[in-house]
Amino acid sequence: MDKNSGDAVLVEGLAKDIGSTRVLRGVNLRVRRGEVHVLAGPNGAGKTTTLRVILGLARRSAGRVLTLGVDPEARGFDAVKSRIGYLPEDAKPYERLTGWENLYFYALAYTGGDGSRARLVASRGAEIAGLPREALARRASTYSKGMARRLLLARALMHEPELAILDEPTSGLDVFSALRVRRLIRGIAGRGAAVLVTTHNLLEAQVIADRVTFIVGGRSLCTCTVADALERFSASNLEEAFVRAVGDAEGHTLEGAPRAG
Amino acid sequence: MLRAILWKELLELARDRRTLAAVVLMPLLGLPSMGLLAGTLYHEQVATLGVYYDDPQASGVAKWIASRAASEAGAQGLQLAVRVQRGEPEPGCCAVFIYLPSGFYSNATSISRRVIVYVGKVIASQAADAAYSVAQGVLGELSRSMAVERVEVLARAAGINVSPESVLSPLVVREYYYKPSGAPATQRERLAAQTARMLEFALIFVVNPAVVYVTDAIVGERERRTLEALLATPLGVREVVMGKMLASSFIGFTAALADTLGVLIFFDVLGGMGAVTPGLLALHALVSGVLVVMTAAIIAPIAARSPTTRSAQATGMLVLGVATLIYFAALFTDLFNLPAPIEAVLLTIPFTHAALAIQAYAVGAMLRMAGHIAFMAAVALAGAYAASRLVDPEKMVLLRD
Repeated sequence: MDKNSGDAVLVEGLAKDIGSTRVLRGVNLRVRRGEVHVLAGPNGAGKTTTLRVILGLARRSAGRVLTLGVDPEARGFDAVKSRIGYLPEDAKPYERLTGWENLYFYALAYTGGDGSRARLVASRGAEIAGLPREALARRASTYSKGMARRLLLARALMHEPELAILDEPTSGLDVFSALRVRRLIRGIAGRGAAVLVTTHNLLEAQVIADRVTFIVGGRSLCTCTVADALERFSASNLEEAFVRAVGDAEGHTLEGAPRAG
Repeated sequence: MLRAILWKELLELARDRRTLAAVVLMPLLGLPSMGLLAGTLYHEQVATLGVYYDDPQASGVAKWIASRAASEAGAQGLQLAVRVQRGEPEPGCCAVFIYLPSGFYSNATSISRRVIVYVGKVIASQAADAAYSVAQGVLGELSRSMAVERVEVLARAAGINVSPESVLSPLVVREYYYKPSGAPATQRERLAAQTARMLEFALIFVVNPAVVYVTDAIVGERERRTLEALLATPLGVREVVMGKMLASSFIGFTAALADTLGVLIFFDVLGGMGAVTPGLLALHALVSGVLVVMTAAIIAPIAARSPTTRSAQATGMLVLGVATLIYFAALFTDLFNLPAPIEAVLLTIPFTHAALAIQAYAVGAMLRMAGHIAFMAAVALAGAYAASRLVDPEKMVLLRD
């Protein structure tokens, strides 16, 4: 945690070039402990790249980033990683391993290779996943998309991270599984952890988010609570607010037609 | 922390039966299969040898040539159909023909005239080459028996007692084999030196799985969408790459063991062309093991830094191609006995040292052998260091398919 701000994640003026393309051009983000913070934006807005920079998986070109109080590009960041849980958007489990083995492998990684502690952590993961014992004993290659996503979410959360970074966590889940995941996300924040979520489903974001940051074209537009967003953009729901926010930024109306003038 | 990644890699590998089977079966059966196939198919080829004659007095000689050729082909395990016929051979009558023209007999029984025999052979045929070799042997035998008769006639005319052998083979060659150090070499050592060539070639089967597996282990994580989450764990990119390198080495060691068994099968069970001594076998296993680690260490940083999946695979194939060329060249070339500029270039290629270590052992140059193995070990360490230092998580995550 950043001792001065109490923020689990602090991003200021983040810019990122990939090759000769500037994909981030000014992202500002603060994720507080105990909140669910939704990073919302259209495809290609720079959400995943922002997450990668926060996790130290990509270097920033400019700006300042602190993740749990540590610069992700600093030498000591590897030690911080055990306090973070990450679910990439397009992640898949190891298909040749069983569900349990998938959990156990990550538990070993989080516990520094301590087998007995890893078993406890993996058991917690099995509970979070909510998969039957028989399913956990099967290879992940036999899992449906929803089962695999639940397993991956459990893998990201089983070690009770201080910061959970979830890229489209309900993508591909059925209604019941999505509901379960939303409850889970709220539960993590309730325990005091910070949760940073990206999602295309802004109606879902409205249900789970404490605060939301809109990002368009590699630039963050605004950060506010859900209630503030609805008020600020005179919207009845977050989806409408988002469209208005993006429309303001890109010159489109809610109906999709270019704004006159 | 390496334990976790190693545990996962080996478990995944144990479940990947096809890869495991390929890793074991290819080196185990590669060399024996090549030997078996080449030997079996070679001997299954059928060639025809026609012995033609115009001179009626040459029919006896023609029949003798046919009989000797059939007998010699049988001894060599060749399928040779021999026929004897009066007249001139027609073009394309057979793979090889021998034609004894008119005047053959009178020339053969003369003391002063040379004897002409025509031999024809179809080109681009291994079977014809084999039949031609048999025909040459038989005609050589015939020529020698004529020479012996002529020497005896001349000796009688001169009234001297002379052995035809002393005239026809005045030079007696006594063979003496020794090592480069000057120490005498036994027959077994000589055979072992020849065997070493095949052992060097067999190293191809060890390099292959190491290259393929380490490339797949690193690039495959990205393709299978498992890499990004893994790199976000405390394992870190260096542990991930090192763990994969170690797992690849395990694969390679398995391949090396299978390769050593394959060599044993080729030489001792199939009765190949050399002799495998326990020392040579142990050295092959050692060199294979070090080679595997070295190969994994060379490929790991390259694969991890490749901008695209295809470029990683292409680079892996390039490395494999270089190794293959070296070990193929080692079949025919003394890699340690080339002009200095060529040798210098070859020595910069780490794979050369594996072949050189075996060649050095085969000629008893133990210090040189140890030097080559030490060089490979040093390259392996340098590669491992490079892998741990140069690997860039951003490149790995942003790697394009």
